[in-house]
Amino acid sequence: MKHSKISNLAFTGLLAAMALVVFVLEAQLPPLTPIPGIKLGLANIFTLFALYFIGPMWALTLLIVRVTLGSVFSGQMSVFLYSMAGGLLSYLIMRLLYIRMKEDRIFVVSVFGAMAHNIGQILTGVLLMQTPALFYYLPVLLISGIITGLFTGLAAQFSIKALKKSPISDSP
Amino acid sequence: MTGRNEHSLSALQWILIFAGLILLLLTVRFFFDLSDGNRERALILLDGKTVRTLDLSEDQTFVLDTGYGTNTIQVTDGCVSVTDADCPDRVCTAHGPLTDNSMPIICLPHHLVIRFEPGHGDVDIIAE
Repeated sequence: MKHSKISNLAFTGLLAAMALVVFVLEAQLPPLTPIPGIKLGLANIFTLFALYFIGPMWALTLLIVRVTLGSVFSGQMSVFLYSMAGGLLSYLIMRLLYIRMKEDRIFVVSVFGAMAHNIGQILTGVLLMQTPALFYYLPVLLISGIITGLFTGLAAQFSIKALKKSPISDSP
Repeated sequence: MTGRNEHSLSALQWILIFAGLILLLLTVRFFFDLSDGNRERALILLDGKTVRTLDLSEDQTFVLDTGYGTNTIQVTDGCVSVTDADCPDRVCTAHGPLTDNSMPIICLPHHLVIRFEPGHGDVDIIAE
């Protein structure tokens, strides 16, 4: 993609707005399971999309904006630290895998990103609550991360594949 | 679509790796279940410190003020559960009764954990 800085900025802003809507809607769903930390993670579709379609720094910007505003909008400031720690660790892993993985392996990047997100959350919980018992949740959280990460990754992968074929991606 | 990662694994190989990883994690979880601890007594922890020990043989219901908010804790028929809470997500009330130590009841917003008292051979005791 050879887009100008301004069109990248506008595109990232658009993605951030969409990611926020999805994030807030997902937060309104009743808990899927009685396990804290298990969620679909649909907002990560937009981070992955930005990583591969616009560029790594834009994806990081998108992530920070989404986590910060998402915590404000969903009224759950208590989970801000968990989201941020999970998000940044997840970004780090996805950024490293991005170097090796092409666009037909985004689902792999996504699965490892989701697992890193869960590990970041648990570490934050253990540090904040001083409760090593939280590590008991790690296997269950990682299993959920593999499954949800696979599907969010495929969603991002198919979106990019479709958009690359469309005339939109050629316009400046 | 080839070139940059021609030595990498195929999509199917990755799926198999993930499936194997899930099986491995299920096995790990199964072993966590075995170190159940003492099912007659439950601990209420705030920020990792035990603030109250519950004898599960006597039924009781009380409101716990955690300092971050309140949780209503109920003991009936030897089972402990959180029946009400003023936290935003209420994951703790959705948990239902405490069944094993691989799934402690957790209220993240209120820094609250409810679990069985560790028994012999428990991971925590080994760690300490």
